[in-house]
Amino acid sequence: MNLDATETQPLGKAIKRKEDPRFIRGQGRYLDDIVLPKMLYMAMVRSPYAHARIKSIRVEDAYLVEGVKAVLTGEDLASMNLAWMPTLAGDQQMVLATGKVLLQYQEVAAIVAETRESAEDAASKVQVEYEPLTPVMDPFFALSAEAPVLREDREQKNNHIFHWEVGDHEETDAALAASAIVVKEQIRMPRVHPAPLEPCGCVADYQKSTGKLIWYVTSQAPHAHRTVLSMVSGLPEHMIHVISPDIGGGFGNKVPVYPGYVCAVVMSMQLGRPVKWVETRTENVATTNFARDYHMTAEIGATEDGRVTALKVSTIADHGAFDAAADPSKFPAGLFSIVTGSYRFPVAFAEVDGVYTNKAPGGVAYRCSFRVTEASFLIERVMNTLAYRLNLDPVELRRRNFIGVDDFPYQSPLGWTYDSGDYEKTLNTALDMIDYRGLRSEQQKRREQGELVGIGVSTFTEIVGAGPSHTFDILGIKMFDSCEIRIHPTGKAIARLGARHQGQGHETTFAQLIAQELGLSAADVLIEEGDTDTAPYGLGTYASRSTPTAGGAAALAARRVRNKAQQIAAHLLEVSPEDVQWDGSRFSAKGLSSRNVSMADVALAAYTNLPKGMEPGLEATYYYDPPNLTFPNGAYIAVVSIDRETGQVHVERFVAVDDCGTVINPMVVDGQIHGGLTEGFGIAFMQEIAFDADGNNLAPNFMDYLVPTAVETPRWETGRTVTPSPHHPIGAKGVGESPNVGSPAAFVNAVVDALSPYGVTNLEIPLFPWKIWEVLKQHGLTES
Amino acid sequence: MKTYQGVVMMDAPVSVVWDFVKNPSTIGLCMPDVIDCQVLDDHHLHAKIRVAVGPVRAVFDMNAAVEVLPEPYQARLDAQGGGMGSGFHLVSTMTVSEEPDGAALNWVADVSVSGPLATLGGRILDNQVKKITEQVFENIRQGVAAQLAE
Repeated sequence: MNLDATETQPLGKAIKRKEDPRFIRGQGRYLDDIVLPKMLYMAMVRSPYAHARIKSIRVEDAYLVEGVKAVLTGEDLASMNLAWMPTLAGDQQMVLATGKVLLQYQEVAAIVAETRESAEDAASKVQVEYEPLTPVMDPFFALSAEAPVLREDREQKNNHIFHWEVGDHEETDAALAASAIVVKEQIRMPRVHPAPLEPCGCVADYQKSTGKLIWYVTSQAPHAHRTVLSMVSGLPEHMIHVISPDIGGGFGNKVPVYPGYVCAVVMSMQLGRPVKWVETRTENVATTNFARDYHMTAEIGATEDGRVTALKVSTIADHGAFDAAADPSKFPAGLFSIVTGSYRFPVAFAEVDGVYTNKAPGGVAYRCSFRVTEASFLIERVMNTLAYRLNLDPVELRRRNFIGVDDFPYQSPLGWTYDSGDYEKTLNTALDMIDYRGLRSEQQKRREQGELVGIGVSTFTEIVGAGPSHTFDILGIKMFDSCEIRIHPTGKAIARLGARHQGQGHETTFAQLIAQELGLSAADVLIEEGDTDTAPYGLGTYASRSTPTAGGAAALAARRVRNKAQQIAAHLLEVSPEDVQWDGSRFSAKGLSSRNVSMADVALAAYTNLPKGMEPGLEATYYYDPPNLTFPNGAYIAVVSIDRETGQVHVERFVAVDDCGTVINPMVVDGQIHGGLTEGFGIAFMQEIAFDADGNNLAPNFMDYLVPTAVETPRWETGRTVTPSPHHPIGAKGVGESPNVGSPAAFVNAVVDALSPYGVTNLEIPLFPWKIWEVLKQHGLTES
Repeated sequence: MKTYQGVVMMDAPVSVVWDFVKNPSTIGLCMPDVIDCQVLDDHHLHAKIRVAVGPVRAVFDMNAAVEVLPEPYQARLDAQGGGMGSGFHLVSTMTVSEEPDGAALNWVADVSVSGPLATLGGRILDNQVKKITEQVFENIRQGVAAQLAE
């Protein structure tokens, strides 16, 4: 736990992460490291079909396997009224299938045995007779009259889930009709998966003697999961203790409640023994919540000199078999309405229709704040198309349409109030870093020599920090977050937050933030998250919300502590509280700075030498309800070349300049940017959860669903501008998701740019080499 | 679902080939990698077959029905099976016709595969299913030849 930098006022310093020594040494304590006495193991029986009627389930042979303790089917759960569970989107989802299966690998039965091997063996002995039905894999077919109705449990007898729209339809149509230039593009963001390296799992430990359930679970939102579990199981919430141990990546995948969690709890309650369930890789990739799968059509109107006049977007959203999108309640399409991006559209309209198909449910906010990546990808791609249409440099087009630095707070036509930004400055920083002008002339020379070289730009605006209670809730629970700080008598502190990090570095960054406020060293502040019996209630870590919400709570809780500390300091300094000043590290008497006390001095006094009548102790809790969201932004530039013989794209350079407001730890921010860019690279070039016509998942493992390794990953060049958020207590905006949001468009714009001399303006991701090779072939650009 | 088709030429009278393909006891043994085959009645059989695609190895329980169609010398084989969480369904129409050198067995098969066999088999699945399906009809050719040789 020793830090290299232990000085006070650590905000903004590149302190090494507190959590890394234990992770690097393999001493992290992940879910599968938890082994309890008398623990049993659970395995799932899963459907081979994407859509089929269950005719019978025979479990007798499973009981013949040595060590099997129990077999659970959907009918068993139905008798407990647990066959279905609520989703975060207000739909319901089968826990174990009854009647029909609606996706391949859907949970049909659960087996609990003394060993995992026995449970897996027994799962293979369960005989399920299916009657295969027509699988519905295409959302457009799903909406047709010919498509079978997938969800027989609903009153509505079609596959349409919701229609959501925002903006002014009529005005937008009129503005488009009046525009000198209109470009229209169809952009698809395919189904991908967050693919955390640690799959999901839990250990349910129900003790019949106490009636208390201790539930260790891979959870990004332990408090919300406790509430949901209480609602599903009927267990009193105070008798559920959720512990979210170290988490090996979440990226949104560990926000929902999964059927395995519920089954493990039921089995533990029935058997009175701990039950562990940990997914295999295929179970994780094929059944837990996916991301994206948006089929978008956008029209941009513009003047001939390149000023945008209107934006219209229509989207078909493939939500899979159950609407388990992890969005705030009022936002079935998440925060997709950030789709106007960094540009001053006078008018806009966006609509999204959600559709059921025979695929895994979702979608989650995979390293983005609820459909923001889809929105950003769309606008940054179509602005690129507009630039080609106008024969204008994509950088120049962006400049002409940027929201200006003096326009903030900026009211977008789709309802958001952007807090701050200096888009010109951020873009100029990126252009300088990469020498954009020099790069364009070099590109020209290389093109003359026959090379396929492209430069792609993305100047995105994100929306994070959900969110203000007037607008944001999940299942009715407002999306505040919280922090409790206790200062021990020796001046050391523990802070507990409602968030739950999964690699973001909270143990370091929140320690820095609190230490900054209290005049302590970051080494003196212990951060604890993920234990619902100790931490105050919060909505968890996803959607880049930790710093905007829990970070705000931490700063304001620290200020509450400091306010009391000032009273105690006055007592120690023998002056009135109004005559005490705080210089960031010590309290002193005004006009007599030599008379001073440290926070440690005050802390000791809080337990030993208090002013008369003051309550002992030095601690505070703050539930922070942010007044607005925050709007991080960035300017990314990619340079690529394409191998004519193989279609392989080589990313030669990638410059990412981010503006996330006040930076708590620049090294952690850089780490976040590197990780997110790598994921964005995977999305652009390597990843798709595709299906065949029979509903078979064609990428349910890491052989076919590719995750970039160090071998494929380009070298990232990062830069930064700092435009603080005016409403956040320390001016921070959140950064974890910006690179995933902003980078896919930069990659694709670069590849399109490389091929633009040959008339290519649009390419559908992922840009697999074979796909690019086919384009090269079509345009006579390859001899292979 | 994928559709495969082919034709197998046999140096045998049409009646021999026809009797062979509509008989569960002979056609059952033509399934690839048969471990066990039980004829249930004149039209139905149950078999255990070994299946391997890519990294997936499984023993499947298979139920098959052979049905004579109204068209002369035309029959349908409907085989469905599964195991280890995977499944397949094959529906094949077989037509026996007379040729100058014997008989031709024309076949068209719709095959769907599901579960880990399909997903883990992934990229090699199509070729492998085609190969296994073709093997069924090649086994028929060999079976007929063996019968004639007896």
